[in-house]
Amino acid sequence: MPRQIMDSYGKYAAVTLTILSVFLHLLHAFPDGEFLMQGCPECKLGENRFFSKPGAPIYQCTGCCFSRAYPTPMRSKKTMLVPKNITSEATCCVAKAFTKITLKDNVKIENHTDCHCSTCYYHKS
Amino acid sequence: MSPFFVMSLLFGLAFGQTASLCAPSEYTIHVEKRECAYCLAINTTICAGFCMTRDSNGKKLLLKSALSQNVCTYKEMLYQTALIPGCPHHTIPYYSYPVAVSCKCGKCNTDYSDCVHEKVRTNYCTKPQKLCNM
Repeated sequence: MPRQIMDSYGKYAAVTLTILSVFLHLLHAFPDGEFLMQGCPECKLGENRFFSKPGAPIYQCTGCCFSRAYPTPMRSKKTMLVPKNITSEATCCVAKAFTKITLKDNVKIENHTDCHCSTCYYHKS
Repeated sequence: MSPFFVMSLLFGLAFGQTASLCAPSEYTIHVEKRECAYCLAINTTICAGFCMTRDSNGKKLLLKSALSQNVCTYKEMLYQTALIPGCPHHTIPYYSYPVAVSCKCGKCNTDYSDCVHEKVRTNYCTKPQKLCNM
């Protein structure tokens, strides 16, 4: 009987340790390309219901990508024509590959087939 | 393998499929001047994290303002000043830098920000390092 009790305690300990190690791994994961807590879905294909028709879905790249803003290093500031105090490194969810589709009235759109976090083009003000 | 063990693993894997939002994060900046003997390492707070963006299917159909993309940037900041050690008397030894108070997913303001894509690799010391004691 004591052996059975020890076995069951051992199983509970193993499960507890597994859950703990998974959470610790998630908490210490790097932000660049890794995902942590709930709140921001990854950059991937999603159906664009505005353009989609039955049997002819149109996909759009949507999701979250990493970016950061920090004080401009002194070395970089010296090379700037107009020195800026802050440097913003950013990536945005964009199509890595797409096909061109022509809708009614000769309207041309893109049907995204693959996504990735890459250069932002419409993020400046 | 017990079902409970497998469920715990699956729960952990499923829980890690989304990203942390844009928020203040710890960061170390390295400051050195040619005239000064030391490089100063300053522990500060910056804005870093994930922001929601999308790529339009019809870029030619929309105005540029409708193609907006948000990035993690400063919402509120304050400036702090640090003293670079080992500077001669004729050199101004002070260095002012922004500290993030709060962050947001918004536009990169080109009035005071250098908006880039690739990592800037100039944040390092070439001289002996000293830690900034704030």
